[in-house]
Amino acid sequence: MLSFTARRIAESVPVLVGVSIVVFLFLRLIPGDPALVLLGERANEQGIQRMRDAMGLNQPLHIQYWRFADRLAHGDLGRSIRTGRPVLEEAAGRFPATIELGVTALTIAVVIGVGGGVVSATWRGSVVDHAARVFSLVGISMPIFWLGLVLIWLFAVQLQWLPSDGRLDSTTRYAPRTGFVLLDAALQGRGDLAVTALRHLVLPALALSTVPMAIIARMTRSSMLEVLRQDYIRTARAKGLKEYLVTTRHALKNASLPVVTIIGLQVGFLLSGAILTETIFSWPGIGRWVFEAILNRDYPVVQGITLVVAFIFVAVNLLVDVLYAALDPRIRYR
Amino acid sequence: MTTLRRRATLGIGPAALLAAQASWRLPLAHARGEGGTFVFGRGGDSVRLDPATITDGESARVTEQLFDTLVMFNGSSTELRPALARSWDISPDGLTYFFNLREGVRFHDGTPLDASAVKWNFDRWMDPENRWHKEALAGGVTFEYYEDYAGFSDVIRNVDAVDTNTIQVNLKSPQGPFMLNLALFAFGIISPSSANVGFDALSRNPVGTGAFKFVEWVPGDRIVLEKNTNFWGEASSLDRVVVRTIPDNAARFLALRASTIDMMEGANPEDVPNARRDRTLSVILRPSMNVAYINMNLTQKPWDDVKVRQAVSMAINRPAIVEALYGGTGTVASQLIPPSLLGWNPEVRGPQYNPDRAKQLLSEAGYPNGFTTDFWYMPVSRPYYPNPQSVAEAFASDLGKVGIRVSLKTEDWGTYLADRNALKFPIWMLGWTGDNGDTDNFLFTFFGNHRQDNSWDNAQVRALLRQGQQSADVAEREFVYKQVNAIIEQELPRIPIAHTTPPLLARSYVKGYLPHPTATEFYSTVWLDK
Repeated sequence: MLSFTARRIAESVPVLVGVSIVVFLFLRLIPGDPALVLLGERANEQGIQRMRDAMGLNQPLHIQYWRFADRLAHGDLGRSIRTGRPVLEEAAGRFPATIELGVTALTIAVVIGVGGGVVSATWRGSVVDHAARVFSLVGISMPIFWLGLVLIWLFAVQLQWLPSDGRLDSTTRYAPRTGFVLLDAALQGRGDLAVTALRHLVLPALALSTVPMAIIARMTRSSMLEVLRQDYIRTARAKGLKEYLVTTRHALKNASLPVVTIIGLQVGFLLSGAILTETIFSWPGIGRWVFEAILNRDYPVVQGITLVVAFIFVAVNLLVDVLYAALDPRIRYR
Repeated sequence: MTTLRRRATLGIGPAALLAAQASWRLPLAHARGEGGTFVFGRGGDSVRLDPATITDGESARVTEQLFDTLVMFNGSSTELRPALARSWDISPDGLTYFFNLREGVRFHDGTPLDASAVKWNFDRWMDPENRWHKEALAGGVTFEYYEDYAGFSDVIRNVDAVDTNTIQVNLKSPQGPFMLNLALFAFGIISPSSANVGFDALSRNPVGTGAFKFVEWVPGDRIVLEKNTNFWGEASSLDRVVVRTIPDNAARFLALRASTIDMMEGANPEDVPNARRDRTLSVILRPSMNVAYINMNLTQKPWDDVKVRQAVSMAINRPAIVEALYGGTGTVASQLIPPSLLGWNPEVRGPQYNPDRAKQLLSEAGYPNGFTTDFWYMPVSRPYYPNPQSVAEAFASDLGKVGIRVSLKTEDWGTYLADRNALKFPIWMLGWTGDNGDTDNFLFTFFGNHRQDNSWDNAQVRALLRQGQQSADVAEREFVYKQVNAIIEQELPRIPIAHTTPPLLARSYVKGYLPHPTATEFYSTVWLDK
């Protein structure tokens, strides 16, 4: 297992180098100029050249890549050409927001999705099953953009139960230690901060969790139905095992392999879904930042964050592979 | 010292010069509420908070609260009034300006605002060898407003500190809108000592003399300011200002309705009538300082023929489009400058809707069956075209009726701007929002040089615009610009479409907000009637 993990980590290096080259080249191949975006209607040739010089964009492409790679080797993702601030520093301020949102959304999706799928499969053909299937179909089809606005309209404007946007109220002040507001609230012993943060987290996390929740529920249901037909389940029931033990200990464990794969893939969705969710709920995370960076042709930001996201994706896939072995002892790694 | 006389002839209203004699105090129409936090919602985050190196409105929105300029716009007008300079004198030849600074003003860091601090700022803006200028360039930014938009690099010769409170600016040649340019956010005076921490820190921890002090910036989320209790002018009644970033227009409007924010900019046009109907909200219209137009590549057929351009202008039903698609915030433009600007010509009526005459003109130009062309529209909404795609569809429909069959096209914003600069489009939509409230900022930008997206090679207009730019005489400038507007009406190098009064939506308890045509707006006048 150890050598497998080490080999997979080593294999991810060329993947990440490849990603860096592809992103670097593609960004420069697509039309558009950061100086133009920044100058807008006022852009004239002198201004554009002056700004491109200052941004280092008038250098040959291979020199630009070499400088990028050189900095990268020293753990430096460069500076945003729009704000002039180090990418790593800006990212460090935004990643906790996205991770906090993503983990909460994934937790909601897994708990409700797996639970719903199991219930649906166990009482196949019942009203509960039909309701769960309709819900999951609607969940998959629902555009986050629209759902987000509906949630805000209902819970923030009409009922006024929850705030409409942001991570904290406009008047809340706190000194971030880790950047994870909930964790900081615990570390600083501030219940008021935790309550505010949780209230702000509910709507965006619900919106972001909808699609993965529906996918996980459907996959759990079909996987469970498959397993529940197996002979060993009949045997378990025949020997008098209680139904909940049959479901949880025998069926769910064996049905969970494809579900874990799907959950791993949902991490990728959460990162892309975060762009829309963060835009609608004004969540100051990485998704919206990268989206704006693409529009503004802020090359270093897009390059840097794509690399970090690629790294996360590789790591999650590795984790899923390792989990396979834990779930199914027959799987061996060489 | 040279003989000086006070002049009212440099594009500055007489009221401003009278005001220069008196110390400034805010006019207060109502008793003000005290305290509270004012939360403003906007669509994008600031880029950086160093006024001299920014070009975007979202950065300027914040720096205007933190920094003061030597002179400032008076309320909602483009007249000037004293700010850090309590008075000024101008030499008869318009080449030397003396600014007498307000005494006792201190930066937020406690250091004094004096002539040496102001000179330090001018040196940073103008001298490529200046240490802090070089630091900014090394940080990847340029001084666009100084270099280009205000044109100061061609105009200012040098700046001297005459004594502790007097600064002398020597010009190479007179510039009509010089004083108006000085009121731009880019010429906010920063604390020299704040620059010692380096360009990065300076851009993130701004230190000025403004009505508000910087507290914190959470990127992508909020910028927090607090009241400057030692402000030289009328202190704000607000304790705190929070400028929130809420990218989606619809979500921002919902946040306003949910009272998460007190005021917002950039509403979807369809939300403005909804806000008008809602008693808990108010709609504040910013006076117009923009123009939406259609531009054409006059170096290509058929656009080189004025009859074709006239046909296009008569084919488009501008009043109907403005009525239907501007949410009650637009007026039909007769000229390429808003009516409030110097040289707006009342005799110029602008294009009149007449599709029959348009067909006739097309026939006379040799296109009896019309023609086919690509019409490019903007991919983003701007204050002058809040709904560009819908407007483009309306244009296409109107043009189709006279035989001009257009295929609507667009591309991403950066590419769009590059392609229009390279004159790759045959006909396209764009517009302009004025920087300083001067006609020169519109017409010279459009036609002063035969370059970029100006394909109209008219030497007479260029000479007139140069004359208007360098003249110190208001009457002369007015005459020149009226002439230019009359020529534009005849030649139609661009077709004026609309001026807008961009809407700001607020909770009804927000009082005292003074919208300004150039968007130079100060939250210090706001109070909350809760």
